[in-house]
Amino acid sequence: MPRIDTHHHLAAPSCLGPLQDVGIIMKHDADAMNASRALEDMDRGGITLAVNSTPAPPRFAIENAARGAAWARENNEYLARLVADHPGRFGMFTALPMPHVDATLKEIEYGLDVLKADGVYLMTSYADNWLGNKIFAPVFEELNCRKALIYTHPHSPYCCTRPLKEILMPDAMIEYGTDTTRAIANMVFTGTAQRCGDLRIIWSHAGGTMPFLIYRLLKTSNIPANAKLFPQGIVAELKKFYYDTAQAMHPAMLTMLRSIVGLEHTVFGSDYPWGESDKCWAELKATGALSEAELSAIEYRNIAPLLPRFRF
Amino acid sequence: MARIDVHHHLVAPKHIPQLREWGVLTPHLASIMNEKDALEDMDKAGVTLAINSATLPEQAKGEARRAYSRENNDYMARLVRDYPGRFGHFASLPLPDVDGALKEIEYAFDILKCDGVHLITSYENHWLGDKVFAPVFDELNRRKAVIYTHPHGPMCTQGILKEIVIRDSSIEYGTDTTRALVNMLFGGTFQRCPDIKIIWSHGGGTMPFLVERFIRMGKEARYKELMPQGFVAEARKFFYDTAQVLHGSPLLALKHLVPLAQICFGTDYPWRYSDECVNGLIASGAFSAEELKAIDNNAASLFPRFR
Repeated sequence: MPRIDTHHHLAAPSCLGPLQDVGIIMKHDADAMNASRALEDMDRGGITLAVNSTPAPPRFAIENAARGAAWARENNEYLARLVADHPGRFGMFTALPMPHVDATLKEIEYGLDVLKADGVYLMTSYADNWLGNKIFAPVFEELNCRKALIYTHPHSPYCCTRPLKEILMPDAMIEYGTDTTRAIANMVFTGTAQRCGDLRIIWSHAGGTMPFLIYRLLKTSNIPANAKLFPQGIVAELKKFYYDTAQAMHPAMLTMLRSIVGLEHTVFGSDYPWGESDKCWAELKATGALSEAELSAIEYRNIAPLLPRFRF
Repeated sequence: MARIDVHHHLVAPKHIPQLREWGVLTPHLASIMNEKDALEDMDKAGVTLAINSATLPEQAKGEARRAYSRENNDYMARLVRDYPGRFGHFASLPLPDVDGALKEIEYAFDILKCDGVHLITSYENHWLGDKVFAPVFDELNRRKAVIYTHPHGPMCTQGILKEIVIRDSSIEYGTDTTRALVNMLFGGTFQRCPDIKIIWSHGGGTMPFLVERFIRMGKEARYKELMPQGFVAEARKFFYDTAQVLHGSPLLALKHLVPLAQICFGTDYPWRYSDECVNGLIASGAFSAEELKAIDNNAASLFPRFR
């Protein structure tokens, strides 16, 4: 059975230095972020295909359109080269110079039409504007027209970067999962997800913290101001999204995902280089929370239809 | 059979107009935030005892905050006296004013005989467990106090997600409980204060869904002393209330993470009616009838004067 990993981080060699400079990656991460180390890890973990995305862009890329466009292009050219050089082993999500809408529209065209990428990659928020914000409407409309696959990843929003100053708590622990939840909420409560019904969106880390807050989100969706957004209820909308298993190898998380949205849209993610794919897969199995059929669906069947250029 | 609600909000009547003005209370909430409506609601749902905590908004600052705390504490102590066995009292403290808080602790415990204190998960840019609050935790530890915590949308998240109709309580509250819980453990305050008991609201915020992250982090060598048996062993020492978690999925996750004895019934009155909460727990399917009886009564161990 082929095994596909959609949560897999690589970056152009020229970008590894700047990413270390701003602390987005450490040296040992940078050392692992190349094709040969990645393929070694994939072979150990039985990963047939990894769909690459770059780590969070540094602030200079977010705050400056020209630098953001250059950053995205550099990475996209590199990821496309990996696809060409290692047929059937790598796919790619197009990096986009968000929040700069015009530059993003250009890079969507380049990534999907010229580089033939498998989809695009969005952070959950940019300068404290969350996905679904009306300033991003042209981007979502374009992606919807193209029926694009959108891979999302959180980072620390400006408002909540290292709030707990006295303990060594990386933002990945609490703030990332929370930011995914904010983006999910913003996409459905602005009606963007409903309006752009042809999008396929993958949320990292089993949906951040959304599943544990489901009661709150249900109540919020039922208030008069929001009810018309959810003719079939909010859970029907949440079920349309996809959720990856990166950092979610825990029976409670998987059980919650199954009971709230089902596992039909759950896909495997390692979070390489922050996860080793063999360990991730082993931990997923070891939770005891997934049947053999569910594991097969997660490693291949759920994601395969979204990656039409790959046939195994 | 006792049914104890640890998550129950009232406020001294004179503050209600100001809370309405500040948007903390809607007209409906303001109209039922009094002991008579509360008792009617409790009786409908078989709640024998509700431990009151006051809503303490950010807008009350400095001297006004100290006065606000004192007035609420006096009011709640009066309710305990006037309705024997029906109400308990988690004392408000005027944090982040540490000196004011230490004075109020002395008054609330020694004069008013409160059942514990009510702390918000963060104050301005400091979370529970930060060094600035150490004198307060040391004093509460000395008194072997019960600490009821409640979150808010912290300062840093004010004004975000402006485009949608969503309250801080949906995402930011649960997140802030998680920050405080984790700060208390990874910063070592809880371990340093082994005689305090802490109740986290809303099933622990979002901690149960992020638990894998904390388990992994707790295994790092630098936390060996703080968490010799790992993160979950420490998390199981806390108490968790069921308010606003009336859904089988998160309740089952909580049930599998912590001992049943640590789960306490909570309503969040007046933001929810108590019978809605009782029925919601039953309908969630997460607990057997026996387990629900235990949850109703688990808080009894925390309140010696009501046994």
